[in-house]
Amino acid sequence: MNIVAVANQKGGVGKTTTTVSLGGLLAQAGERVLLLDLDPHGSLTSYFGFNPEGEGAGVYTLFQRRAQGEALNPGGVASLTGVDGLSLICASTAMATLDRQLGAREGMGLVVAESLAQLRAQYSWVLMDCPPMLGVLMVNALAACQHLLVPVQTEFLALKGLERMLRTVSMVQRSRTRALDVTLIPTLFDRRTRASIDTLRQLREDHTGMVWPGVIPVDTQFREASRAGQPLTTMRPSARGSKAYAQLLEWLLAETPLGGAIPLREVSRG
Amino acid sequence: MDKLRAESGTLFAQEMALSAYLEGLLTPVTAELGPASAVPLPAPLPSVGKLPVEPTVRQETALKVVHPVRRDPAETVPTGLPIIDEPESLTPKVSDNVVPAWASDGFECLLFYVGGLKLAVPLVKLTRIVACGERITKTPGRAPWFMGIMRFDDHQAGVVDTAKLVFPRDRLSRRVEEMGNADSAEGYSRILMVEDGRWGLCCDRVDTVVSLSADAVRWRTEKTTRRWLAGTVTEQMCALLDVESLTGEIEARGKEP
Repeated sequence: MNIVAVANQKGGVGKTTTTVSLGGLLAQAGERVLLLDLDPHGSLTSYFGFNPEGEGAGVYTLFQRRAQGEALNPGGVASLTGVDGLSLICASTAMATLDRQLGAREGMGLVVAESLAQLRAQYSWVLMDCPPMLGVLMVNALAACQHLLVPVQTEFLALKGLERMLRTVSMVQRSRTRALDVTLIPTLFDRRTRASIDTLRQLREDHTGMVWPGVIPVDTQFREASRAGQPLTTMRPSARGSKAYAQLLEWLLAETPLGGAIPLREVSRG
Repeated sequence: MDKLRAESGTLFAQEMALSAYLEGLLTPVTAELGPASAVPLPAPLPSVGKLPVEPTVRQETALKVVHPVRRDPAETVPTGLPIIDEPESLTPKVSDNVVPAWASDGFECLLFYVGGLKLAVPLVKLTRIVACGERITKTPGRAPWFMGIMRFDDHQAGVVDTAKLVFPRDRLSRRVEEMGNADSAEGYSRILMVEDGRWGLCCDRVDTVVSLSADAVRWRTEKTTRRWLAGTVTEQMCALLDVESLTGEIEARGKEP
């Protein structure tokens, strides 16, 4: 099972879009993909037409069960998204109270890792959409994943947020037994603006070796896909955004330890 | 140099806080937790900062008298802080009888300022920090230091003008003068909620969190006056609040005619 977290402590950088797009591509390639919405805002949950305000089973249920000493039974809280091969464990707004309820209670940072360990037979890939703040949910994601994708919007303020995110990662690294691979993904790139071009150059200079060589462009079709509740990569494989994510996945499989999971030729290129 | 040290102190304290937080979350639990360990769902109010506060260790007697004391005028004290009663020995060994239970294995304090006076409050006694913009309802006929009541979580909390409570008369007059004869309550920016949020202590600004060992404090051994003063934090040269005594004094004074 490949476990990937998509995180950045800055909001609006394309975390949910990245999670959905990569998940869609992997599902198209025949993988059994599980998406986890760890953000109390529930963008990923809403994307697929579920209501994060509701009280249905989801991520919160796992923490409830752990707190009450019950079996986690994570398979029972996954929902079908309507996209073949793509399942989802939903978020709920109640997740925003977890930090307050749990504080730093022992073992609560490992609930997701333990849940995923029980799902090894059902899914080959897990993609987690993380909350935009450090807390019990972010710690869970960083403890559970093998690879961290950090979408970085190509504008100067985003570079500041990135420093904070990387500091958080280095703190969690010390508590992990295995090293965490990190890839920075330039997103919302607008080649017509000086700011986008300069920020991209700065990002590559400051973080040599960590940045994916491509970019995810600004593409209004992402919004249309979210309204339709479909990954853009499934709905319009020929869209600029879809092609960019296909290139990103291809690169991740070829250049990182995530490689070898699926034959590259089967990844949709539109 | 001092500034640099202060800055590195801030970073260190923050790193300590994060390390402890992560260590707790990422420590595997061998025994399953029972339902009794579930935490009730709170109803949080908007706040400007929330610190990871350990469960409060309640103490029946905050500090015990262990031996007679004498005043040592040579002692350096924070500017404007009244001289603190000192134990007989000039280099006192910290006695377990003097040190509160929550401080015995080291503790963390939030440093804050009231009218230029630096004070410290133990994190174990601090519930939350809220903005002074919270609505405070004035109550007529109360003591001058009682600013009013405010809604906090699911109950009412009393809000205290800290300067009026802890400053000697002359210092309070100076503060009022410095503020262009405004009421001393003007200019407060934050309220430190203590005693499970029953009381709020106003302050001008919040500084940083420092980690201290018990012997980093000159604990007071006899408290006939200024019961709110637990001791002096020697390195930071500031007064450490004895929250229980302070709120006890507030409640006692509140009953005065």
